[in-house]
Amino acid sequence: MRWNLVYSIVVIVVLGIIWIFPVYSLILGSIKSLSEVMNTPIYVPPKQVDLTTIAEVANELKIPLANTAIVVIPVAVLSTIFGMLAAYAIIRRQSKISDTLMLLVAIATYTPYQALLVPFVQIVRSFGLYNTLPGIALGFLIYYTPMAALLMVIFMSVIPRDLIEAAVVDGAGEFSIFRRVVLPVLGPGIVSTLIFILIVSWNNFFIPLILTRGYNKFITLKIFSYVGQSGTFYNRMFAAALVGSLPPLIIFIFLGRYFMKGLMALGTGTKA
Amino acid sequence: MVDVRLRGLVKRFGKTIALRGIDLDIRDGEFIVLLGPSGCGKTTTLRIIAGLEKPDEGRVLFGEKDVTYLPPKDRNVSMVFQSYAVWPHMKVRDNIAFPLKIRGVPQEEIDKRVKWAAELLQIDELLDRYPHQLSGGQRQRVAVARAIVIEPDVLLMDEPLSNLDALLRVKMRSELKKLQRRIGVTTIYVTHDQVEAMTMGDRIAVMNAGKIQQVGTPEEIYLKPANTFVAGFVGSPQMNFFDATVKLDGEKLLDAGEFTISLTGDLAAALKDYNNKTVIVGIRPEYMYPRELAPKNMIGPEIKGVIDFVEALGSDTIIHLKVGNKHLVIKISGSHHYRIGEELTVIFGLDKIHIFDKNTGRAII
Repeated sequence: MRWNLVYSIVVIVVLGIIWIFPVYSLILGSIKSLSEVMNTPIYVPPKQVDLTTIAEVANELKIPLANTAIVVIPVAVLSTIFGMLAAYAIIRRQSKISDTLMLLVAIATYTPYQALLVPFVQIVRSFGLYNTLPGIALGFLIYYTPMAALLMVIFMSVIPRDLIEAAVVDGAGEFSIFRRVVLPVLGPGIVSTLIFILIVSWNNFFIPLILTRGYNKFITLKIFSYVGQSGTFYNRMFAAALVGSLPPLIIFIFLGRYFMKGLMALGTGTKA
Repeated sequence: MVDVRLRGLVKRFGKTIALRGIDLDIRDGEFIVLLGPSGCGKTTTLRIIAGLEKPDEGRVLFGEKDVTYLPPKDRNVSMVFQSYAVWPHMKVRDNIAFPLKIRGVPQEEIDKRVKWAAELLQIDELLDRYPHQLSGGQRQRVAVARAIVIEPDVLLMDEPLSNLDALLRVKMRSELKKLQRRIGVTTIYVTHDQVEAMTMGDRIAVMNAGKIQQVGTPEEIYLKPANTFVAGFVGSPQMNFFDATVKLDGEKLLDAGEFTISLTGDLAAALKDYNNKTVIVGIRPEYMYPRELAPKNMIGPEIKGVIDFVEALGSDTIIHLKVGNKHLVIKISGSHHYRIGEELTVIFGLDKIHIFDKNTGRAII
């Protein structure tokens, strides 16, 4: 029993080290001078901590960070709402049509966005939204709403059927059932989907790349911009990556509990 | 309150036929139990009455009104689910009030009715608690309170006691029955537990393979089973069955190999069409006695066997007997000491035997 515990701790520590290493080197790279970054191995701590790079880069990232937040927050909220409504319809109308819709949702979720490059650009252009923040948001919505719907179908399918049918027998209409029964017990699932969409869209590089020009409209593009033609300022690039990844990290730290709760609800088949 | 009539209900799920023509008349204010093994179609029948499923064929009538295709909300029914289906995010008060709120009942009336239902179920102290703060039995009471608060025309219960522990189940059985008598609502109760069915139902509809096998009072079902399925399903331990040949030429008798029964009067008349054919003889374990314990003056066939296994239940003793290559069970009242391997002679009265047609399974007498 005790040895089992030791083995588990050893495995957890080893995995933890593997997972934390990129973050560790990201932080080190950000607080080293350029020459130190270039001349010392990635895991060696700096002789002197230099926070000026982070401060400078953070200042440069203000606008892209704000733009990214303006895009991804509404995207996460809207795709979660649309996904939730779609999932409710699919779950409640068990028929061939809902099976087909479910298949379409799965196809849309698993199609790589590179394959959708041309139609993406055409649709966004046709709305006159190319190279705008709403344009990026539209791209994200098209791509992430099916994913949100898929997640919501999974979360809704573990709500005991009796809970919904009890409301049906009691005379509640669909909207009433959705609002008073499904929505309240779906809390952890909603938060999980919201956080997931928020993080994957925040970290998305390809969709903003094809729908905009320049680098200032989205954080991942801005981080990429530190890879210069006349040499790369690695310490600045590390600092940009660090600053750029802080918001999703903070969100996960504060709301991660709910995310885990949602996932655990899937295992138990009940409200977490 | 209303009477419920089911007419030729057929329900298919893909290639599976769940109901194969259900006809049943349920009287106004009656407590009827749908009893049967898993997959026999009892829950499907209940869901069709609730409006949660639509039949492929047949009709459901509440009084004179055809409700077959009406949604649940237009039927004034309520249902207690096996899992209770108490909403976890609502307090007990809100759970019970929910169907009234949906119907747009004024708040004052809601408060009054919730209080009435909660007092009836003795949960008025729990109204401000959440379901996770309640025991299984209390949650069950909440589910029942929610079901009766609208004063439904028909109350449907789908195995509502099966998640409770044995002691609580016994208590709730009598409480539910008393409650139903008090409010007089037509109640349709689904269970696979024959003890529940026998103790609670005014009448029982025994179901198997999507068909009703027999409808009757608990006594009728027990004493006059319509076929081998009902005879075998109701009663614990199960009825003993023997194949026996009817011999009407010469000495009239029923020959089961292990024993013979002389056919006289009514028995011979009932079996007149079965000469030289095989029938099934059924005897309940509680009507078979070790010879030394048989009621005085008992005359009847005797069977010799070897004790294979003994279950001492305290109040009863169940003896499993090997008779040739057959297995026989007898149940005697009280505690008795019998040893495995011991020989035992068992006697039974002819007035307690059942005879079934071997081909159709239908009761002959």
